[in-house]
Amino acid sequence: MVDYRSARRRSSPLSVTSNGNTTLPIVQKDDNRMEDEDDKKSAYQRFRPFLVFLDINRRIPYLYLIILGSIVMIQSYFQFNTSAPQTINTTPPIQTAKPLCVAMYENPNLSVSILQVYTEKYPTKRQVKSTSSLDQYKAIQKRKYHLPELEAFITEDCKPMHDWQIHSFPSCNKLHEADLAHNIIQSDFIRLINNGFFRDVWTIHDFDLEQTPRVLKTLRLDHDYIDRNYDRHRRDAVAMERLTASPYIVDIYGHCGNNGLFEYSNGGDIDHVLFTKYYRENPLQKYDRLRIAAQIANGIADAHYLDDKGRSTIAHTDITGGQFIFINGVFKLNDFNRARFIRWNPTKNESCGFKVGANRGDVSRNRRSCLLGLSNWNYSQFVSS
Amino acid sequence: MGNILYQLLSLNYYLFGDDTDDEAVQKLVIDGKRPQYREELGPKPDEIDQVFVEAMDMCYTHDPKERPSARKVADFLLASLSGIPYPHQNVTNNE
Repeated sequence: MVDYRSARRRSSPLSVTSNGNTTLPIVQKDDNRMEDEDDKKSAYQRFRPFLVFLDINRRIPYLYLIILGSIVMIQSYFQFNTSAPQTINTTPPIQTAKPLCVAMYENPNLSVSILQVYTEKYPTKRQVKSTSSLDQYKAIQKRKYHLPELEAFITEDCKPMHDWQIHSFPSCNKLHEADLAHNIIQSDFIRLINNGFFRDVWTIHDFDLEQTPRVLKTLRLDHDYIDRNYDRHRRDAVAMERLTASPYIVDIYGHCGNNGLFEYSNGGDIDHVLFTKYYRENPLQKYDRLRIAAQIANGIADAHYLDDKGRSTIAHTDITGGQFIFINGVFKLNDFNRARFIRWNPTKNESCGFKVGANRGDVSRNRRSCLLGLSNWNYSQFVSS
Repeated sequence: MGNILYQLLSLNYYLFGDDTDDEAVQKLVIDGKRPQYREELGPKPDEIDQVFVEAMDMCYTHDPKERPSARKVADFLLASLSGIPYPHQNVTNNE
């Protein structure tokens, strides 16, 4: 048999001797050997720089250098570690126990799926122009947005004016009875309707037999379960509970930990009534706007005149048009979670001042890596208030 | 509260135009600058405008010790509301 492929490959034609023996095998072998050597040569030439580097004999000086360098580095590392003064943390680390992610049962087969409503289905409604993420990050750094630690309420100079300012009245049973295991996207019982920077807002129809809608506000997953946030919710609940008598302030129905249960509004807020497209084209009558003004003034006055005349005990500190929501014909003051309880200085016989940090505005942060428990801050969607 | 009253009256979202920065607005207000609501209303403000302007004057008082309390503003607004008759639909169509 003649290998036609190899024959074609070789440039010389097949030579057959007269006695019938072919000289083909020998020639073929030689040719093949020659070819292999050529290949090796060319490969060697091609990869010559790498082979030179791999050659141990030539690398010996480099090896010395590398070993010396690594020894110096290791020594300096250990020296740095040992010589650095050991700082001892006097303050205990903040306990931030919080769920890594929220799962829900999607179908009767109990297949659990991770709740991604934070990002895709319900982005924050308040979105203003956003520039590049780095600029926003710098802006945050520049304006010194930081989470201030919880200050001591009672100091040497300043004392609380009333007992309720330092107390909490949780009604956890009421909240624990609520069945939250519904499909949040389709269920009529519970639905995620809105969110601010601080909390998510849900409607729940489950709290009484009449199924009147209520609003449940829960801390967003991005925030930590720290004392500061617990105290914000406590202040929110206590202030609203104190002001239940006022018809110009939203009522509260329950409070537990970082959650609160409030009146439901389907009429929007003042910003909605003034600045949405429909109302820009058909503005309210001036008389109605004056009525709204009177309602606002009454809400703020009720908050300031809770106990004694001339001694305010609550400061809302976050009065905007968006904080007055329309319930039963009245725009009621809402959201006391930034409120401050005002203390009294007995020696000077005046009320103590308080500090309010800059409002951070709304930052929507994606939690794509919910399963890993990493909280990704998405600064590109930073929103200035 | 004065800011919301200004928004209610003028239907402007921003106090000093939408170009000014938040921090700039803070500085302006601390320096005593206020939105120009009197000038925006024109020469002949009507009854409701007058009420708004007086209430805003109360809220925008610069000295916190002289600034009237929210209760006073609320009482003033309620009292003046009861004095103004509810406008009928025919009258306010031109607004």
